Amino acid sequence: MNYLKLALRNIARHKKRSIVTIMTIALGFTALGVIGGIVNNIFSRLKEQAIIGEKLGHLTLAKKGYFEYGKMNPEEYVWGAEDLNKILSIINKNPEVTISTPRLSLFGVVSNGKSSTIFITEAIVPQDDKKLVITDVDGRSGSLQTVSLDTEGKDRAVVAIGSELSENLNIKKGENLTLLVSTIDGITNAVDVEVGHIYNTGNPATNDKFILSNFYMAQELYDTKGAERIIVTIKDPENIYKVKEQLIQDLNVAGYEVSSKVWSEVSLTYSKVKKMFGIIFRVLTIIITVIVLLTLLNTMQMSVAERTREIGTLRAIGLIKRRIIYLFCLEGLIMGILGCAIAVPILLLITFILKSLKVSFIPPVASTEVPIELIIKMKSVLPVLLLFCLASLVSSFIASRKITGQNVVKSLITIN
Amino acid sequence: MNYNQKIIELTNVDKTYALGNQELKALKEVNISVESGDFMVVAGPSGSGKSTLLNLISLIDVPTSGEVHFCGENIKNFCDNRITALRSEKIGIVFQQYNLIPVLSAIENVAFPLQIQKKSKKESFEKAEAILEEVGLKNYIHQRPNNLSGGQQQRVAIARAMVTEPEVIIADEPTSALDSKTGQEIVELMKYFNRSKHMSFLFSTHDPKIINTVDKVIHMEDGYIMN
Repeated sequence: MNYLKLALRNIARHKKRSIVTIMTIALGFTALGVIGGIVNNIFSRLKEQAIIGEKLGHLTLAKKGYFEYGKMNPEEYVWGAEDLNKILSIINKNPEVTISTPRLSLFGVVSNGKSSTIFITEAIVPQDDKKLVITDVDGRSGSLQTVSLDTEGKDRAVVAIGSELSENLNIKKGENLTLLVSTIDGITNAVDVEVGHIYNTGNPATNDKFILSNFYMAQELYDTKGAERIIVTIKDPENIYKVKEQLIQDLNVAGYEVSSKVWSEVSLTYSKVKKMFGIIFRVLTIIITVIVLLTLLNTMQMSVAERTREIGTLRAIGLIKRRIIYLFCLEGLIMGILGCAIAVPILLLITFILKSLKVSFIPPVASTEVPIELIIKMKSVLPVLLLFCLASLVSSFIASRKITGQNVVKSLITIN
Repeated sequence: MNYNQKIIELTNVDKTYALGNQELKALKEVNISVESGDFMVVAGPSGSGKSTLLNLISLIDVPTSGEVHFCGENIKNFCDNRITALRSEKIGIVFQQYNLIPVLSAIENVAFPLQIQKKSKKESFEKAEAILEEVGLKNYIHQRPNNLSGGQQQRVAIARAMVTEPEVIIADEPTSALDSKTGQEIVELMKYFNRSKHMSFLFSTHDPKIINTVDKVIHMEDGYIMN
């Protein structure tokens, strides 16, 4: 018997009710699609912010123990010049690696001559950073407006500082600052630098203390020829863990014990924000799914109640209970799938409108506006589709189970 | 089919319904058998137990006490699915209000019981078309029930009951929703199939004209069989 045909005809039998139910499912799916799309966009922007904005690349490699104890005993976790060159050479042999660049991070006191405050600096190789800022993150190569340093050697003493730090020190572009740090041997050292750029770091937690400085100047300031970390970017981020293991293994073979972390582990905010949004999205998914389930349950209960005598007839002429339940489940499932199918073009339309309107907002833990775009991913849409289909099946099953178990005579004498 | 072979036999059957705190005995000590080739009427006033008796015989209800045998087998220990299968294969049921599936056409309604039995679509529809032609609805096979008159719907219902070639067809007041002329035509149709296909028919009515046209009449009153 063609149950599908029968189910479709039964759905068409009560057009208004079916349309309302299907539209409820479509709206629920659209709502979750929009929320999921925005959340995906936030994740993607945060990822871009971490990899390029925070200049973390895809992987950070350091001496074993650096991530746990490096801040306490920095001198123990700095590679010397010779080791650094060998390590960079090994890393660059890996065909997946696109950029490998040494880094130093220092902290100390920064002064404008009248007042001073604490600072942290990330020392970068400007030539490598030029390549890093155009790294493709989720298909948006070079879209993030971020600061870099001049690549000319004569500008070693030019730095970029966080906008809030510049306000606090009342410093403008072109003016000088003095950086005071402890060298690798614990001796105080200072250098005068020129403020070449003032920019928003994109993170309120660092915007009042961050200085982006030239790696070679930082080496002199810290009195070392080496580096404490190496930042690596790779061709295909899908292979990030494979490449990480391979690099650790290659360096181990060469006698270097290293630790490595991927960008999401190093980023201060990404994991926390992702976790927070993950919880919000899951709660919303549950609420919307329950609404869809209750709407479907109501529809199916009305349908079952109206067709009680029909159910009795089907039972009387020889259709077994589970076939009748199957028929109702099929009706519910079709409405669920139709609702989701209708939601897809609606989602695409909303995506197009948002892109056209160029609406922007400031995501949490960021201080620059990003455009509101929907990033619709199959891996986030598919579970919602399956969840809605399951809700359709469950509500149809609940609605039809009781009535099909009822005495046939009782069903037959029901006045619909 | 062997004549005079017992298809269904009810022995000392009682049926009691609970109405709040009270009990209503709808059938009392009923003994009856339906044999192959029978054309029987169950007659009696409203509330006499006709429908209850037919429900038990058509295996859509179970007795409170007593035994029901179908083709010699006591159905007491049959599971629900087996009883449903028995109804599908051996019993045709015609309802007072026709009870056709509204979203199916006449031919689809008639083919439905065959498709339940997992017969092919081709076979089901060929048989359904043939039987609809026999009941005089050749030109209405693609009409849905709401486009058919009461008499036509009841003819479709009879065709649906007969299409599986069951041992017995049970009809609870099949003519009560029809005018007397149409009702008489329906009875004639049932009689025609009884004679031509040797199918047993058992139906209830309180129309004296119909009662006078049948071979066997069972009179019921207050849940008892009087004859």
